[in-house]
Amino acid sequence: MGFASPWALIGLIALPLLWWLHRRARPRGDRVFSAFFLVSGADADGERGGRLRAPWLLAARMAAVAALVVAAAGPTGQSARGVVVIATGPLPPGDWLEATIIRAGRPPSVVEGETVAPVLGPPDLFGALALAEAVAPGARRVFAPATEPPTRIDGAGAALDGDAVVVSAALTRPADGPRPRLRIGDATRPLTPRPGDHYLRGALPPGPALITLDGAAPWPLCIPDASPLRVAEAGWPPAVEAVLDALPHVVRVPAADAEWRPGVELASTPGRALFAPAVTGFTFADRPTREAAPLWFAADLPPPGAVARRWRPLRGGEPILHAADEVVVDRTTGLHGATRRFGFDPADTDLIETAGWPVLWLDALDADRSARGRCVIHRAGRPLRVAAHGPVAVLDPLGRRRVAEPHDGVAVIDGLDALGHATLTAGGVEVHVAVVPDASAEAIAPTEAIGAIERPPPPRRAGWFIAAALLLAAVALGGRRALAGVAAALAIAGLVDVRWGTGRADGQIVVAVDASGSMPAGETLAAADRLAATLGETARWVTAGRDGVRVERPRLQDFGGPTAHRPLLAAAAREAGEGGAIVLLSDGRAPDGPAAVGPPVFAVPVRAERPDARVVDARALRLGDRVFARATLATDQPVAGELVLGEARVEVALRPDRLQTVQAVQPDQRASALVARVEVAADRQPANDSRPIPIEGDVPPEAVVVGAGAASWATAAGLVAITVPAAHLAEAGSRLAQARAMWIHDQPAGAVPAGVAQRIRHWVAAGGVLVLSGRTRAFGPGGWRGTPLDELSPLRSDPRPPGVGRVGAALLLDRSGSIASEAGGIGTEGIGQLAGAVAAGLRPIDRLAVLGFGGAVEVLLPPTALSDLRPDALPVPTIARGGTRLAPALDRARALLGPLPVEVRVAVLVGDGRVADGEAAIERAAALAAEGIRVLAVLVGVDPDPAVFTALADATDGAVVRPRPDALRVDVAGAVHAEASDAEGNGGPVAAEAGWPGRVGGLPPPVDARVRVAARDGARVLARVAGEPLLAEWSVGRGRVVALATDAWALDHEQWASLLAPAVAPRPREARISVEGDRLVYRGPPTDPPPGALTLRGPDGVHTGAWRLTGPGTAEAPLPPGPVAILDASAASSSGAVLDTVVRPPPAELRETGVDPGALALQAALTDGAVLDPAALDDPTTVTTIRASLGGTGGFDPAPLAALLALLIALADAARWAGYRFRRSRHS
Amino acid sequence: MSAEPAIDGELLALCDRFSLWLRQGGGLAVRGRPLPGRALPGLDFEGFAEYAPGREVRHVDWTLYARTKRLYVREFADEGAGLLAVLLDASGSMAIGAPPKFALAQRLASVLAFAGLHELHEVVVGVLHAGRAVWLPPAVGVDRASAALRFLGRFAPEGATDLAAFGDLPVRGARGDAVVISDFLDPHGADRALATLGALGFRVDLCRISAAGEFELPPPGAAVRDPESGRWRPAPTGPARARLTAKIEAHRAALVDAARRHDALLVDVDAAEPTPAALERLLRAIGATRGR
Repeated sequence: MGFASPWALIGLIALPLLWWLHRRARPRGDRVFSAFFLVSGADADGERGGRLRAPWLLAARMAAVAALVVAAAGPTGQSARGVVVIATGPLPPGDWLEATIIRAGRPPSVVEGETVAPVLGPPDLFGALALAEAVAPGARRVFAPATEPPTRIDGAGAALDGDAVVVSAALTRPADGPRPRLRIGDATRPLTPRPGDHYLRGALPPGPALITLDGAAPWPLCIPDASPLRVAEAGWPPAVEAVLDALPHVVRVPAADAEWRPGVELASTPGRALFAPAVTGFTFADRPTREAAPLWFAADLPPPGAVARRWRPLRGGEPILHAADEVVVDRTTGLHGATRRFGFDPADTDLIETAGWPVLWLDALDADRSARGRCVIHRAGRPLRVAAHGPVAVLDPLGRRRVAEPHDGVAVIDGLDALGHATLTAGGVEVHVAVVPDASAEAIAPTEAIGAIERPPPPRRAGWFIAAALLLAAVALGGRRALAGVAAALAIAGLVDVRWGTGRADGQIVVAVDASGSMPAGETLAAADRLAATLGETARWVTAGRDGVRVERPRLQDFGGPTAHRPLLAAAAREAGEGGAIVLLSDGRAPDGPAAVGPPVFAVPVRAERPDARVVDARALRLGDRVFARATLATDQPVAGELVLGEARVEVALRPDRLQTVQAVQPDQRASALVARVEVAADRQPANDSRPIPIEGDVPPEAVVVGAGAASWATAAGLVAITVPAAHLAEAGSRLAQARAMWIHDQPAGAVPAGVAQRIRHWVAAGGVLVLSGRTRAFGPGGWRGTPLDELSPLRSDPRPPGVGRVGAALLLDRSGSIASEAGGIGTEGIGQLAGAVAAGLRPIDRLAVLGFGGAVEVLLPPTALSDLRPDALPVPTIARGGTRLAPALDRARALLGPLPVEVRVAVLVGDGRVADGEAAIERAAALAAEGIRVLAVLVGVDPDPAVFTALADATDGAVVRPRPDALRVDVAGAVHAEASDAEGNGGPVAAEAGWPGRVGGLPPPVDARVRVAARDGARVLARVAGEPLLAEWSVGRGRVVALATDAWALDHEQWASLLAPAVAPRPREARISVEGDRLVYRGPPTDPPPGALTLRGPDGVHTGAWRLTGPGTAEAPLPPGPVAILDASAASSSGAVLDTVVRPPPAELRETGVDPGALALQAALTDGAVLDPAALDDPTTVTTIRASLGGTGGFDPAPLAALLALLIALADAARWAGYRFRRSRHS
Repeated sequence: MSAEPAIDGELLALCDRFSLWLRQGGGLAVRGRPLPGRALPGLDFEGFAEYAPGREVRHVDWTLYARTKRLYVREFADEGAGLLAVLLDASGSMAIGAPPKFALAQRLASVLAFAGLHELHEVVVGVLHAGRAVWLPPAVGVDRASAALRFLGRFAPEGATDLAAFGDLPVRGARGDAVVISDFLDPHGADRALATLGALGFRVDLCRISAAGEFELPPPGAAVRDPESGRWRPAPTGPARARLTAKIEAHRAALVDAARRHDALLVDVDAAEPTPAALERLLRAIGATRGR
C-alpha cells in the first residue's frame, strides 16, 4: 500500500505515547503516601500489563489515532517502499520483497509481487522514473535490466502452403529438451524437429494459437485461413475471369456471399482496419486519362515487361503496380473491408499476356486468404493504430484491461510490449493481436524515454476519517470528554473534499523541441525564439536532440540524432505537471509516435525553407554491355534539379506529393556499383541525397548457343555465348546448368536428341530462358513437328491452322536394282527411313499412299490417314531386277490422289532419276499439274540423274531435294513439310504487337526472310510479318521460351538485350535477402527450414549475427547501424548459400523528411490539444488558446492537516485523562 | 520560591513569648565557637588549633611555634554567643497531614531562629526544598529576626527528602548546635546527615514530626502517590500491605537507633499537636539534654 503523504506516518509515534499515558494514568482514589519510597515494585499489584488503566479506552484511542494517521498519510493502494527497482524483465536473483518494482513498459506500471513480464520493445525508462517518483518519492532507484531472453522460443510463425498451413518454431537451445507444441484452444499438436527449427504442416483451424514449450513462455502466432477464397461468380472482366478460373484455392459463389467482389469500392480509413469484414472489392478504371506507359511492380514480383495503353493514376493506397511514376494498382482498407483498385481496364494492357498477371492475382489471393483469421502479428513496443468508430476494449498480454478511445477514426493502442496475445474488441467484433518481439528493436539502444505515465490513484481517506470520528465520538461520549469531541469533529471535517488554492495558479507551459536530424535547425530555432517572445520567461523548455533529452532551450549544436517523441513528450509532461500544457515543435516524423501524455499537446509544424530532395530507392541491372539503372526520388518541396545516375545526368522536376522514377541506360564500365545522386539547389539535408547502387548481374550470364548464326545475337544481348556443336549437346549438360540462356538456332529436330530436349524442358521450367530461332533448318523445315522442341516453342512449326490444308501424299519408291545397296543405292533400309521421313512431314489428318515402281507399279499402301499409320513401320517395296518405268507409277498416283478430299496433293518421287520412260513420264506432268499434284523429287543413290525428276518438279511447281546421307530423314521431312505447308515465307516490314514496347522497344526492323509458323494458344506474339507471327514468347514454369522464325533479322543491341532481359536479370531464386527499414529480411519457401547464420560484409568490416525466425521460411535480423553502404549479405539455406547484395539505407530519420501533418494532428487529437499555425506564433490568440487549456495546479489538500490536528487533540485528551494538567509548579 | 511573605502576627507573638520563656529559663543551651576571622569571639581559652589563613594572627602561640616550628592559634569560647543551625525539611512529604506537618515545623523553626537571634547567638537557617538546601547566611541580633522569619515563610513543601544536603552548611570550622525539624522520611536514612553534621562539629537535635494516619494504606485497587515525585503505584494488597507496615516501622526505628549512635536528641512531635505545647516539649528536651 502506498501513501500520498507518507510523511504523516510519523504520527504513529502517538501510539506508544498513548500506551505510556495509560500506564502513567493515576487511578481514581489514589492517596498521597509519605513513605512511598518504601513501596517497592514487588509490593505493587501485578506486572506491567496489569497496570494499564482502561485498556478498552486505550484500544479505542489507539485505533482512533491510527485511523487518523492513515487518513493523514492518504493510502493510495500502491506501495511506497524505500527502494524502487526499475525492471525490463525478470529480476536478477535478490531479495526484492521490500522493494517497489516498476516495469518500464509502455506505459510503465507498478508490479505486484516479484514476477516481471519481459518488456519486448524499447523500455520506457524515463516514464518509469517518473512513475517511481510519483509512487515512492525520494526512494533509492535501482535499474535491473533483464538478463534472460523472454522465452526459450526464438521465433515462430505460420503461413499458407497451398491448402494447408505450415507452422515453424525455432528454439534458442534446440538440441535438448522437450519438443515445442502448437496449441490451438485446448488442443495441442507436437512439432517435428528438423535442422534449424520444428515444423508442422497440416489442416489447422484459423485464429490465434500458441507455441508452447515446457518451462518457457508461450509464443503467440496466428494461423491463417487455408480454406478456399470465396470469389464472386460473375461480374469480372474477361481477362480476370480467365485468371480466376485458373487460380487454385478459389471457390466461386454468388456475389452476396463472396469475399472478392467486383465493382465494389469500399471507403478507406487511416489505421489498420482490424475490425473490418474479410471482404475485398475490386474496381477497374473506366475513365483513363493517361497514355501508354511501362508497368512495374512495387514489390519484387516477376518483371512484367508490359505496358498500360490507357490508364489513370491512383492516390492514397498501398502501391502494388506502377505505371511510369504513378501508382496504377493499389489496395486500400476501411472499416467495411478492403479495395483493390486497378487504374486500367485489363483490356487496355498487355500485362494480361505476361507471367506477371497470374502472379499478381496469386499474390493477392495469398494475402487476402491469410488476412481472414481476425488475428494479426504486431511488433512489440510500437503503438498500434486501429481504425475504429467507437471505443476499443483492450485486454493486453499481461491481463490488463483498458479502453482506447478513437480520435478522428483512429484508436492508438499503446502498451503492447509483452509476449502473448492481446484481444481487441469493438462493436462486438473481437480481434487477436499476437505481440512478438521486434528484431530491429535489438539494434536500438534503450533510450531514456517514452510513454504515458500511470498516475498514482488518488488517496482514499474517507473510510479512515469515518472510523476515527466514530471512535473519538465514543471516547468523548463515554467519558464526557470535550477534547475528544473536538477531535471527532475535526475528523469529520477531514471528509470534506476541498483543496485550498485550487484554480488560483495556472499549470506550466512547456515547449518541447524536436531537434532531431531531420529538423531544419534554423527554422526551428527561429520558431523557438518567436515562441519565447510570445510566451515570456515563464515557459519551460525541453529539447530532444543529439545528446538526448535536456531541459533547456535548443541550441544549434543540439540538432542531430533520431526522432523520438516519447522521451521528449514524457520529459515535457513531467515539467508541465498537473494542469500544464505542451507546445511541440516538430515535423511529426517520429517512428514512436504518437505518445499518450497527460497534458494537451499543441503541435507546431516546423517547415523548412530549403528543400530536401532524396533518393528513395535505386536499382541497376547489367544487361550485356549496358547498365540499366532506375532511381526513385522524393522531395518535401517542389524543386527542380538533376539526377546523376552513374554516368548519366537527368533533369528532374520533383513534387512533394509523388515519387518520381528515373531510368537511364549507359555503357557498362565493368564497375560493380554506381551512385545515384540527386542535386538540387540549396538542399538542406545532403546525407540522403545519394545512394550507392550495386549492379545486379555483376557476372555476365552465359548462354549456350547451338548454331553459329546466333552467337552474335547472344553477345549483343549481353550474354557470354558458349557455342556448342549440336553433336556435343548431350555432353554439355553441366554447361547448361550454369547458363542463364540457351539458343538453338536453325537446328533440325534430329540435332537435339530426345533425352537432351527433355532436359532442356526441365531447365527452362527451373528458370532458364530458351530461344528457338532459324529458318531453313528449324521449325517446319527442320522437322520439328511433333518433337519436344516443337512442344516447347510458342510458335508452332506448321503454319496451317488445325484442320485446314489437308495433304494427300503419294510416296513413289524406286524398287529398281540401282537402289539396292549392293549397287551403291540406299537400299531398303534407306527406303524405309525415307518413308518415315515423308510421314514425319505430314500431320495426322493427312493421307499417305505408298507405291513401288520398277518394271511394274505396285500399290503397297492405299491412301490412309496418318493417324492410322505407324510412321516407322510403313511398307516398303522389295528390290526387283529389271528396268524402271515411272510413267505408270505417276498415272497410278494421280488416280489415287485425285479423288481424295484434300486441299494439297503431293507426289513424292524417291529414286536415282534413272528411268526407262523419261519422255513418257515428263509428258504426265501436265496431267499431274491439272490435278493440282506437285512433284517433290528426292534424288538418292550414288550417281543420280536429276533431269527427269527436275523436269517433273518444275512442271508441277514442285521441288527437287537431294538429301545428305547423314540427314536423310530431316531433309526429306523438311522438304515434304515445305511442299505440304508452303513453309517458306516472304520477308518484309515487321509490325510490332502490343508487347513490343515493353519487351523489345524501339522500331522493329524489316526481316529479309523467314519461315512460316503459327502462334500457339497462350503465346504472346511480339512481332508479325504480313499478319503471320515472327517473334513470340511464353512462360514455361519459372522460365521463358522465345521463338524467332527467321535467321535474318537485324535487331540492335538494346533490342536484343531487352528481349533477353529475363536471361540477364537476376536468376529467379527460392530465397532472397533484402532490406526493409532497419531490418534484414530473409524470404524462402514456406516449407524450408530457417536460414543459418547471417554474415554481413561491408566497408566497416564483417558482422555476424543470427536470424530470428518470423514464420515458415521467413526470418529477420537487425541491420547494424552505420553509414549508407553496400553490404554483402549471406546466409546458409537448405539449398545452399543465399548471397545477396543489399544497401544499408540512411537512418530512418533521414529516409522521410518534411512535415507529416497527419502525425502531428493525431498527436494533438490524442491529448486534446490542437495543431497551431506556425505563422501565427506571434499572434496573442495563439497564447490564449494554449493558456485556455491550462488547469489549476491542484492547491493544498487540508485533509492531512485536519487529521493530524485531530490526532494532537486526541493525545491532549488522553494526557489530561491521565492526570497531566500542563501547569508549571508554583515554586519552580 | 515566591516573594517575601508578610510575617504572621500570631507567629511573632509566639516567638516573643517563647524567647522570653527561654531567657527566663536561662536561654538556649547553644555552644559558642569562634568563627574564622572574627575578633574576640570569646574570652575563655579552649585550646589550640592549627593555623589556617583567615584566622587571627594575634592568636598565634609563638612559644609553641618555637618549640614545634608549626603555627597554632589559641581558641577561645564564649558561653554567651553560640552558633545555632536551624534546619527545616520542606520536602514534599512535609505537606502531608491535617494540618500539614510543615505548618508546625515552620513555626518551630521560626521560634528557634528568633530566640537564637534574640540571645545574640549566630544563627544560620537552612531549608531543604526541592531536593536541595537553601540557606539564609549566618546572622546575629534580633534585628535579623524578621529576615529569618520571612525566609522560613517563603517555602511550601516540594521535592525529595535528602537530609544529607544539610551538610552543605555555609559555615566551616565552627562548633555549635543544630536542630533538624523533619519527618525524616528520607529513603537514604538519617545516618549520613547526622555523620556529616557531627563531622562539622555540631551537636544535633532531631525533631521528628509525624502526621496522624499518614502511613495508612488506601484500599486495594486504589493507588499510593509519592508526594515528592508525583509517582504512583497501586496500593499494596494482601501480604504486601503488612510488609510495607513493617518496613515503615523499621524505618522509624532506624532513626531512633541512628540518633543514639550519633548522640543526638530525638523528639517526636505530632503535627496536630498545638504549637506551644510542641515547642515547650522540644525546648525542654533540648534543655534537659544540655543539662539545664
